[in-house]
Amino acid sequence: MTNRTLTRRDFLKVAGAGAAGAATLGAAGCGTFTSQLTQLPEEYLPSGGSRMNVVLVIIDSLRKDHVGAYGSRTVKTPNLDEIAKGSLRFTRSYPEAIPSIPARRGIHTGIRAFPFRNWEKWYSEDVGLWGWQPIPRDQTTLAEILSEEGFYNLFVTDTLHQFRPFYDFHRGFHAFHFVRGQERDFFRPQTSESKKKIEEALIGGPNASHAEEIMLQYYANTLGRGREEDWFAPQVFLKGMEFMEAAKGSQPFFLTVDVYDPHEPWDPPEKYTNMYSDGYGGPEPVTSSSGTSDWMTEAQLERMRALYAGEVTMMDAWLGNFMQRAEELGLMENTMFVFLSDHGHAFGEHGYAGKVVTALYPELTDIVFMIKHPQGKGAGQTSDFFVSTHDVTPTILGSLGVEPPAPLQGQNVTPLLEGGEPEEARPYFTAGYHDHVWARDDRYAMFARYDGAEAKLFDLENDPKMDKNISSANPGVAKKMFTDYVLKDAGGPLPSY
Amino acid sequence: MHRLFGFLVRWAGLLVVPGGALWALSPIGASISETAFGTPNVFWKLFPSAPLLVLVGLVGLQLRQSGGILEKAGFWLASLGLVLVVAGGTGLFWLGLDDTFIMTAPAYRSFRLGLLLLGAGAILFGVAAPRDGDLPTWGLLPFVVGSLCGLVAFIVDLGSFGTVLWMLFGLGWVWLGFSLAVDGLLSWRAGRSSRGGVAEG
Repeated sequence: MTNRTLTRRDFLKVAGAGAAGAATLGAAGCGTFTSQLTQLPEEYLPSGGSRMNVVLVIIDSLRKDHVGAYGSRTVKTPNLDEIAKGSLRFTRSYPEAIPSIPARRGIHTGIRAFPFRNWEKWYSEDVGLWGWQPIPRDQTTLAEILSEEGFYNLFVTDTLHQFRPFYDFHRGFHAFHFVRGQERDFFRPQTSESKKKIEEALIGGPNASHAEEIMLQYYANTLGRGREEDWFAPQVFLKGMEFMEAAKGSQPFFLTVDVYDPHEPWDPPEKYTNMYSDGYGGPEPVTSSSGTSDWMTEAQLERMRALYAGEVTMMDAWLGNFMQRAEELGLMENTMFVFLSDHGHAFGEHGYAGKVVTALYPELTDIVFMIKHPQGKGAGQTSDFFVSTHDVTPTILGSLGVEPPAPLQGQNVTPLLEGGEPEEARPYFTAGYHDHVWARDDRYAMFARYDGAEAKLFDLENDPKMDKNISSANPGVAKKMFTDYVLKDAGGPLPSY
Repeated sequence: MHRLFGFLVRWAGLLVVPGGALWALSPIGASISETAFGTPNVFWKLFPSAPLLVLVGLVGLQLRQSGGILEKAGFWLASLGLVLVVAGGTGLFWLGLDDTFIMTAPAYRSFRLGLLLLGAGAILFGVAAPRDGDLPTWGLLPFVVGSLCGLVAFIVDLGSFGTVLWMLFGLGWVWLGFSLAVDGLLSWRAGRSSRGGVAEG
């Protein structure tokens, strides 16, 4: 063994070298340790782990009662029904804010759009509904969080309101694709030929001029369609399949497929309409002109319902193709799917057609919400938890074990997949649509104006379709629901614009 | 030939210096890779070279030691950890194992498990080595501190602070190698003076 005795001189040499090294580091900018910390990379571990892929499917305007798994006996949705067998299906699901854009704000951020504070209309052509605005810059999106976690994010949609870059719904996605041409998307110039097609449409009702504007643009956008693949839902799901194939090599991935159908206008290929209607010869009621429905004959209303049902079935068929492709790609065992709609649509029930602010009945407020876990958790089961659009982000993050950078207002409902309960009980639920609010608990549903006026109350135990307004006989209940539920959730009096 | 092999084995322990330095610099490497290529994975592909160098160096160190049970346990634990880190990194970034088995993530799990074993093994090795072997105490003490820092950073992701701990872990190995070199130099000088003394006598 060698003599390892360290002499004083040797120690000084070593210590001197160490001190010189430390001095060099100091000169290189170590300065204050705290400030240096902030400049150091935050990542020192590679990303990875048991990170399943996530596919989020948002279906616009899909009524809950038009899905077989939710009890529809007339509308054919074999693929959604099959998905339901392998999913946890929520029976009391509602958007926290209506319609499309406010609902999507909640979906993408986990933060409620209701009670629509600080709302402003962003440009002259924009929809003038409270809460209809871009995702606020200070809110982080699900895609941004997952991007930080190493997910490859993809987004495909034909929901036209998201196309303007400042709306920010594409934030955090590595690739996004907008399928152009839905509704009043200023996609193609109107021509004499496209304008002529307006004669085929049934235009009328309380918002006839707006409906006509929409249809003139829609016909310009869709002129010359031939194959079924030219319709919007097929285009969206086909692009979704293409993205899914590409993403397979970049797992884990987060794919959002946001399909606008069965939103109006309703003009599915004939084979789908023929499933629900025959012998109709008049102008097509392709849009509802939101308001009272008494401007249409019963035959026209029936035809409108058939067109809608046809569009639901077409969307379902292409959703089935999409799921089939996921299966072929071998993604079912490592991918969680979340399916939900953003709101419904009235077709003459309660005397209204469309999305009428003052008619917050089940046909408008009830949505589809299902979670299909790759390990079959919760498969074939149901939950009556009041789940909502703003629960999507915390649920997806929770299922991946990812902590959000800031507290979210929605809840992680993944414990329900394993028979547990979410962190906080939700004995009631509230929602907002423009200048109206809605609330429900186990017994009652109520909707009213933002200041509590014009309240309508319904006993859900005896009247689940909300046909009989009992507010005058129970003024205390409606007032209590407004105060204890709506104002409490809103954190005080509601704004008005 | 035999002497050359003996020499190589004796000084293989010095490989912990480049290995530790690469380890310490790896967060910066990942950051540069992110900036240059849009992904840190280009760097992570190269990262297994750091634990591989440390592994060879550790074997070299162990071969110098007479070694007690604790030190041997530390050595084997750390070696297993390093093997898992190398295997995990290779599986993750070269073979794409987790792309196929994403739910089980065998490569990533191996990598993280390897880090834990490495941290624990290094601490054990560093604590036991001065008692059992011939590595200098002044080299081992900072090494143990560095290993402890590493273990903390391996257990939980601590962001920027974790980066500092991660770098200290690498620097601990550098310091250990440095102490070995200094010790070797001193021994060589002592040996030369002792031989010189005989000649003069």
